[in-house]
Amino acid sequence: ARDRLRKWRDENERKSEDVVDLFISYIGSNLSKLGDEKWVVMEQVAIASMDMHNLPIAEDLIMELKERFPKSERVRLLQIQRLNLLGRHEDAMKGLDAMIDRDPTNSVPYKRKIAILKSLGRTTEAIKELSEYLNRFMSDQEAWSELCDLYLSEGEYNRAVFCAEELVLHTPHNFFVHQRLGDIRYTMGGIENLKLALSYYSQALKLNASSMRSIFGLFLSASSLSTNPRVPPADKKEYTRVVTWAVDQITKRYSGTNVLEDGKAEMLAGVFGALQIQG
Amino acid sequence: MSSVPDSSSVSNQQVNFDLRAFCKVILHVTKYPQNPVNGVLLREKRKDKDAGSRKFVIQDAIPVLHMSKYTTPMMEFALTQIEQYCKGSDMEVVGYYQANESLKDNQPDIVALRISEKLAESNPNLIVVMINNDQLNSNLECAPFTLYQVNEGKLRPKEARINLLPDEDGALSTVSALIQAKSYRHLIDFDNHLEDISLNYWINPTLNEEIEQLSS
Repeated sequence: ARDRLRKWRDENERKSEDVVDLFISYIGSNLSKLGDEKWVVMEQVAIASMDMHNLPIAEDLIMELKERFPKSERVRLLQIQRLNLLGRHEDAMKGLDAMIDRDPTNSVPYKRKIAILKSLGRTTEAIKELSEYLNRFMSDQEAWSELCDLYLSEGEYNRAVFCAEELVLHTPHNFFVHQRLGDIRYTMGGIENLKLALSYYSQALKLNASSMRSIFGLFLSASSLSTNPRVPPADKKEYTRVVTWAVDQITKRYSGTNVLEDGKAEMLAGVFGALQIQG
Repeated sequence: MSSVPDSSSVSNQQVNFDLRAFCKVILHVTKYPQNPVNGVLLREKRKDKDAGSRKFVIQDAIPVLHMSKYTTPMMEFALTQIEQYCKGSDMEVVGYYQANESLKDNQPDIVALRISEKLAESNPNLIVVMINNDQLNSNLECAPFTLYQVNEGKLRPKEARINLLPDEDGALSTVSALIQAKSYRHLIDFDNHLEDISLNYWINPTLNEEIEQLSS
């Protein structure tokens, strides 16, 4: 059990339900046997139990941790998380502001504060704080990704694109960031955006040939362009070629499974037909 | 555009949910508590002999997304696949469900409106179900739904009683048992299908069996 907990800690996995279950069934009664590891485990379980809204377990652990590490900023974070759970969000944010004052180079309290604002639906403030945070911590990918999502939720597609492009700059070999840009450009619509979507999906596929999202995206973009009346015929031919290739790829992949048993194989053909008519 | 009254359309009083549909919606939401989720609701197509006598029952649900809510391509593709699936199995899309990301946020948003409007093109009586996140519990006391309908470019609340089949207590206890048995781990949505296309998100056969077993 302790190995599993360690693995989840190292890999930063959010397996809160499992962590709490493990604690209740094994770890809780055997804490003393863990030696020095016990404090890290307690922190891990405290976080997990708050995620599961299990306040009693969390509070006991936080109390013990506070006794052992009275000046710890990490313990302070747990206390602030508890405030959140109790609905005392303003107090939690004040606590985070104080942490930021004490140490402006610690990125954690900034992000917690933004998370609270987001959960309260105060998206505009969350965006403002996150933008300021990124001015300081420019290479925080998770933050760029989060800001991208926030802009998308507000319909600010151009700004979302800017964030998504930052991610491509940071990790150009990651197919996912190209695919995501493809998704955003496709959503924005119009010939220029569709062309861009097509190129992003292509790049994603070059980096990861098995990405279904990318191949579906490629099909949709090419399909839309190939049936758009304002696209010159020479380009249309090219896009149609891409559509044919994509259809072939998709059909091949589905044929490798038996998910579309008898009768449903026509379904795929129907899908391609329907999407091309819609253009 | 005026809609021709359909004799099997929703009576303004009651919307019925079959156990299978109800469980799939709840399990989808439960599987991804930190994500916005959405999907469509189906029933068997009406056969002419049924005209006029049929209760409006939502019989099944197809879970679609738990990622990329604000971008459109995957949803578009899924809806087209689902349309074709319906053609091949004599089903029709009669509703759309959505659960927002935030616990306190139960309002239909621009995504709900956009998707509902699209679906309402083929079915003006589309039922839109918003999940009331704050009513979610491993021991549900009632169906945590608020109903809406597309009307003049907006989603307006729909006055109707929600009726769980075969009976409210039975349905609620079955879904609670499923949650406690962690059956939501077996639920497959379109996003899961994209990661592994051998997974059947249209039917969810494994889950159907589990629901069947627990309810008998």
